[in-house]
Amino acid sequence: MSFLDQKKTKRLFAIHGWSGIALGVLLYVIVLTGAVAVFAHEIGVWSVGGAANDKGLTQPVDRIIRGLADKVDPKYRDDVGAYTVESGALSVFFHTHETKPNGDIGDRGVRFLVDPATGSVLSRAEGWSSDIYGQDQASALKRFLIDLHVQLYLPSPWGLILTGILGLAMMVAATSGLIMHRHILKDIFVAPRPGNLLLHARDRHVLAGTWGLPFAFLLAFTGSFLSFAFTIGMPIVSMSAFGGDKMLVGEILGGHAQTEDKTPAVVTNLDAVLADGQQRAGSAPTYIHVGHWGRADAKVGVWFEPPAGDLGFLQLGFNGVSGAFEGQKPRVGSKPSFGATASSVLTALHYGLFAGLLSKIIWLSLGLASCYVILTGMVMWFTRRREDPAWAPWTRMVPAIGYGLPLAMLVSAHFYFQAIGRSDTATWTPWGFALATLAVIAAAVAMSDRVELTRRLVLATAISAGLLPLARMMAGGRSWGEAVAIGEPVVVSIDLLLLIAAAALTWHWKGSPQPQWLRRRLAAAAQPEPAE
Amino acid sequence: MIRLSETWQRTLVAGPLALLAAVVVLATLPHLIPEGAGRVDNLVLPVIAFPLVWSATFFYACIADNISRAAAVLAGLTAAGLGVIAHSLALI
Repeated sequence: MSFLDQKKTKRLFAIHGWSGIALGVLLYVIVLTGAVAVFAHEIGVWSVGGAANDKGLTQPVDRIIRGLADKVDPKYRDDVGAYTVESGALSVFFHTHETKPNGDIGDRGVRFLVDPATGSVLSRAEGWSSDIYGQDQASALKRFLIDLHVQLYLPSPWGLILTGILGLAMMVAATSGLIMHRHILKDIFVAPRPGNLLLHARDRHVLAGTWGLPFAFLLAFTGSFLSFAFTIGMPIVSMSAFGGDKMLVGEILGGHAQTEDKTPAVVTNLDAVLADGQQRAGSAPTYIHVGHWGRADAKVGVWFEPPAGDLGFLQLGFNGVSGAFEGQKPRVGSKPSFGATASSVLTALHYGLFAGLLSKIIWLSLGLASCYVILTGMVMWFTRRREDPAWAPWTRMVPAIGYGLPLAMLVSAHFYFQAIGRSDTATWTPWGFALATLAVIAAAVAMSDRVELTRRLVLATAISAGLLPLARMMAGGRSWGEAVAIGEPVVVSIDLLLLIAAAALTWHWKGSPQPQWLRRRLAAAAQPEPAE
Repeated sequence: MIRLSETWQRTLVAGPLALLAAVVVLATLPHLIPEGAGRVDNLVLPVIAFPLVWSATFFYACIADNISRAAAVLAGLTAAGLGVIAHSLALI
């Protein structure tokens, strides 16, 4: 397949290797957390033990939202967004758009968590949306994993810019791998050669990489687009075309009404709108938004799960006063367009939620295959340089990050369950990850035997995964019997997956090569005693 | 006068110059793409194209036979983009 001469192939080979090795660790973090984040909703449901009331927005919410609207400062009634969280509670956020101290446009208002069955207010928080949702304790584990994937838990916009650069690096690695491939069809069926460590790693890297190439490129491209969209792309575009008027660009992208009518008017019945929309969409509503609450120009937007045969979430628009259906609304802009469709398709392809559980499992599997490609690429890089004293210590980096990252993610979940119910759950969850990461780094520095380091990390990961269901239940989470009784399969499923992973890792640990110190001790014990 | 090795020349062209050219193309496309029925095509499509444009400029600089010619092409692309932006702003 390669159309390049030897000199160019060598150059691309160097770019392929260096782009992978320089950013490989962060790339591995992004890809693994991304693969797990495909199941973010399920992780959220599992972490709170499931919802006794899982009717979501198919149950009456109009009376509740209307009652809350009377309690908030009128300036926050500019926009209202409502959805149900993983515990089944109804989240209602009344807000307006204001300029933050740093110059960014943000949502500021009051957020209520309400029991949708009784209408009783469970909590009330006021401030910027980023602060309110950032301190939400119940969803702390899910948010941490998503935040780690989206922006490496770094402050905005730097985290997003870094993940955008990582997306570009992954595009470089995938494209250079494709261009310099000489036997792409043959490599789809290559069998890893046993014996030689370098050849074996190379064959596994090529095999997994060839199968995963289109997916790796797709994820890298769409991820880079999503990371750069609002950090670099839109600011440059709005500066170039609109003189930097962010508010105007926001209005155009949001497709908001250009003509205002502030005449007071009663908001339409939201339950009727939700029922009408559900009938039209043929899927369950996930989010309802009312713009310009209490005004004659009020608009209602309702989001639905992707209908059968559709890639993205469906949004239907209604008149906010009469409740009349106004049509399907694109993801961006006021009318369907090529740009809106392209944006929706790319976003849906990155998230992998379009075909329910099936697409999620495929996305998870391909994400894990990409992790395997990254790790085997590192093994090749270090194996080629194992005789070089400067590179030799770095060979321990592969097991340290390969097993260290899943271990740190599991430890963060343990910290979450230890802190759940307190006001600092959202603080301790990332701390668990950070402390586990530091422990793994310390172990990798202290242990010179790579095999022993690998064995210990495998065992630690197995123990951590195996104990997590117990930690969840001891923290007050629902038992398997209780979860089955409320019809929640996710809790039992994730617990079982963790136990299966723990068993598989334990089996791997028992079968893995013994460390040097044990080999020496066994060899010494096998020596015949000298004759007296 | 300092004479850079070919590796350094290629690094500068594939690095800063390729990035600059991609950013300028990103800023230029809103002036070239029609806004479309939803009034967003000229905003959204350049942002979508940015990773692809950068990849194209980067790989072109990496595999071009003549690095001086590659530098001239990317510099020309940048200059042309800046010209389009200046012309569009002058018309507003």
